[in-house]
Amino acid sequence: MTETIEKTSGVSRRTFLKGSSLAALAGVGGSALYGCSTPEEEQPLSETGAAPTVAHPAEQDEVFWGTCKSDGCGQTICPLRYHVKDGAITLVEADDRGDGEFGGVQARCCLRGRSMRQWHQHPDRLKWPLKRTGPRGSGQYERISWDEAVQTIAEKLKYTIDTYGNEAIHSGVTAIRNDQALERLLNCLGGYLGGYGSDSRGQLETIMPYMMGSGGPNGSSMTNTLHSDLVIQFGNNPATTRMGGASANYDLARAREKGVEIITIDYWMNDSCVGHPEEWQPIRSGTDAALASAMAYVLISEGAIDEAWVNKYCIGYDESTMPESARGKHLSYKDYIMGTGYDMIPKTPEWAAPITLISAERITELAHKLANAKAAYISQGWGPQRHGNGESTCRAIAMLPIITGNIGRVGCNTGMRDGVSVGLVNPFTTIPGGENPVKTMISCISVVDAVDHGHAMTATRDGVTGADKLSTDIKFLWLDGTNLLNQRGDLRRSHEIMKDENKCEFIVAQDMFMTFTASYADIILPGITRNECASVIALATAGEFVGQLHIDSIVQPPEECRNMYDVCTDIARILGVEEAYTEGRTWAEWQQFSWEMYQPYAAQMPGYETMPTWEEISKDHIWTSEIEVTSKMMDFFADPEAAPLDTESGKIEVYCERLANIAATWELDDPTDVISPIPIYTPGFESYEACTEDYPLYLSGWHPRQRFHSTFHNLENLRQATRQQLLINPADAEPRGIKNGDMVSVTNERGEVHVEARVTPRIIPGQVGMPEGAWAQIDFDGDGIDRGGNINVLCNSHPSPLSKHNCSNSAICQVTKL
Amino acid sequence: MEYGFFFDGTRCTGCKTCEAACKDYHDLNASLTYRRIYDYEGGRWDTCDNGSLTHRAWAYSVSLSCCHCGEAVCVQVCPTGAMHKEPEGLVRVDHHVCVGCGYCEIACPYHAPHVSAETKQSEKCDGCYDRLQAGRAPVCVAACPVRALGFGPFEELGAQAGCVRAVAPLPVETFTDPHLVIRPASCAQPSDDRTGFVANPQEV
Repeated sequence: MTETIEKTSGVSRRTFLKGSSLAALAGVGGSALYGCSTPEEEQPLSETGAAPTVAHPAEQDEVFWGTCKSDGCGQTICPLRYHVKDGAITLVEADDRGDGEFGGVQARCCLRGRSMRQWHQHPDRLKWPLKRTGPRGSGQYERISWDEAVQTIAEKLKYTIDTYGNEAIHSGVTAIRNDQALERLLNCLGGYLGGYGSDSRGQLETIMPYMMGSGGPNGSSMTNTLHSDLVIQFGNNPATTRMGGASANYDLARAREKGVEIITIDYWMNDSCVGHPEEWQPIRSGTDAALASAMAYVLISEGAIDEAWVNKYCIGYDESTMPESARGKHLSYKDYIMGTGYDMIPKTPEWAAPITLISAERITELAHKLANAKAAYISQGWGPQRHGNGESTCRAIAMLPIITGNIGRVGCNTGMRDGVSVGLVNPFTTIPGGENPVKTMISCISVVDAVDHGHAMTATRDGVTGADKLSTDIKFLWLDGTNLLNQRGDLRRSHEIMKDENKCEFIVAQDMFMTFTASYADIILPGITRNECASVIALATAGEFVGQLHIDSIVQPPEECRNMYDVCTDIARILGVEEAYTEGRTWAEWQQFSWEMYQPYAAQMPGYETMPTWEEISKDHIWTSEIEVTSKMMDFFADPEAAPLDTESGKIEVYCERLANIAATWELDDPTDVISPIPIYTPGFESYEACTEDYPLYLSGWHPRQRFHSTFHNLENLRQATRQQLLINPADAEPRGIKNGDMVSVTNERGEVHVEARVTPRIIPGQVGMPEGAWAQIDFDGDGIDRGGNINVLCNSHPSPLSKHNCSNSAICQVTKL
Repeated sequence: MEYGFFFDGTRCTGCKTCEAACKDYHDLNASLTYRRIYDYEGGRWDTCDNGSLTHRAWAYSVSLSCCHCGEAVCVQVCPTGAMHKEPEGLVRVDHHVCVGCGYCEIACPYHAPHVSAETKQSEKCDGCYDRLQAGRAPVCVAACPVRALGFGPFEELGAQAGCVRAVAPLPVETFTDPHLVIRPASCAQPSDDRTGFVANPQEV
């Protein structure tokens, strides 16, 4: 009986109930209450004078395990409890298993998870296939039948393949389902132009393998901070990006209460430091590499580095481990830091102060804190790398744990964003995509470029992989649950290219809502959520458990919405590849197939020893298993000879010969673009140095709490709870006559956005900030002003030097009161 | 014995999961909320000779529902008796009696009751009375990802060390004897603070 009684912070519910006069009232009603009684047994409390009270109607519904969005928050995928009555969701609750007390593990979801009812049942959901009747971007459509939709798509696919070849087909990354149904279809038809990387961390995930091997982009779980004495996070904000579930945000809160010192380096006092302003170290946006380099200078110059230890694991920290080709040229990291390298500038705190706007004394103090830590957990979010030359920034930050030995053991991190303890989570959530016969790929950010001038894109200038150049422009674009035009820099440029029906000849979008991106499609297909079909979902958490969720169509999709797999099956049938596509399996049967196919691999992973059979998970629907906290790269640091990295040398390549070769041979667009074999600070494209009299302010964005990127922007409750606003310091607002809540215009050469101002000391002077993902509302044929508050109207579309990924946190602008 | 809410300002990040959970459970739209999260901010910046900056800025969030006050002014001003206190201290609206006059809304220093445009009656947090009956914590308390909310016997809550009953922007507790206990953030300001401001007035 007591097991079911919830506890509250500091005061147990049991205590509450024992002494409650509610209990006395319940006695009058003649029914046992609290804990063991079912709602049906309760009596109305009419004696109180209040209206008869019955349990919330949803308490009496059927309850099913379900999920939030399928790809979650990158790390956190929460199990949710859906209350359903008469086929409709009535309430969404969080995981209520485990220990709800502070310190216990219970994967409580965030406000977005709590909004799933509104998302599923939103009146604006697309309900049937649509065909465009006005110009692209106009949003003018008419309803068509599924027969017409799939027939048209099949014909256009055949025409594109026959006319331009399979390389002319591209599918934008999917954000809603992430299940490979479309990829499998395209592969059955001879393949498509692939996309590598991600909008999230494209620069970092491309360059870190050069330095630290294929595991390089991944960080240790935030749960490690419970074993740390110092946390330094660069541009990391788990309180909004991983705030729900047994997540990084919760781990950080627990570490704080254990007395771990936390320092968050960011251009705004992000939500992770709310209530703890002393933890916030403001920095000029895009200059993290300068701070990291100056901290390294202090540590090296004071003899705080165990250089023999570093050289055991690294190539190119100092001259003694430089590769043959670079010997004797003062090209090592230590030479760069100490001012004996190629630029001959010592990276002193005094050098970094005017760049970062952090005083030399404070930089020295931060270095000393790191030197004195027994187990420092150093991490970076994905904002610092989303700048010009972010590929160097993410490596510069990663040098701090390496040179101080705060890596490869519990309590420490690799300098990357906090990750998950066990990596094997995703195969279960997908059907096999098959092998793509087309080996050519572009950066996933280059889609609009490849529509515009794909035929001119090369390997050494545009990052084409698998071939020296593209053979064709993209002519058929399938936007599979992605709002990518809303989410990439320079919307006007994207509009000009995508509206031209001579460039990309056919666009299909599959989505739940009429997004900015969908409005460019020639045919729109109404999509479903993972809760509206059979699904297996990996529960991603921080570091304390692994798990899987089995969903069996909690609710039916509205009207004519269909599973993408069934749509693709129809198209495969028309094009004569149905058997290859389905292999005779329904969507639900593929779930079992994937489960059983990956089970042998999974069984070798920590926590997965107790993985249930398909029959068991189909019955129980949820399975979780506790795991021990581990840190990344522990094997390598335990024995670098026995467990080498998969870099060229098997060691950490602080100096990377491959990057030196690339730097010598690639063509770079802009003089500010730099590919460097060692991590350096270089301002990069549209850095703060680019500010002008006309555009004196610097603009960056972040991932807000009220949306997952652009998903959920149309939920009114979330938009009201956290409004779309531009953060501006009083020092910048007052001269412009801007008061808190005023509407302002934010402009630069790329466009103009109208948005509400939030005047706050929480942002560094000279900088303004606006969260990404708001839905653009622009009449490009009219005044061209975005009234939706979309930061990407102002962001650049410049590709980073190596990975050709986004540098969208680098933008100059002006702000005026409207 | 009367009950009250506990709020841990050292844990709250202002994420508004409590608000969203409350709205989902009580089926509230964007125009009505029983739980509001105030972002209270202030402080200043200093520029050093070499151009570097140091901040003395601060910010904290306060998640606030009905305080189920000991001296509930909403009950005192209610002309029909609709607004009343249950024996265990929870302030509730009797919807058989409420005429939607709005006196409670005007009187409450915490802005807890609100006359709904839809129902034309006063609507407010009732401590999730139905959940309490079923032995469950209020939905906001059970929802908080970092366990910053609690609910329990007011006397026990008040006995916790280092706790207060008001921080800015809330009024001092002597007005209405709120059944709210707060563990203040290190930067929390007293109720009579004049240096900070509510940074998100449109959101509460």
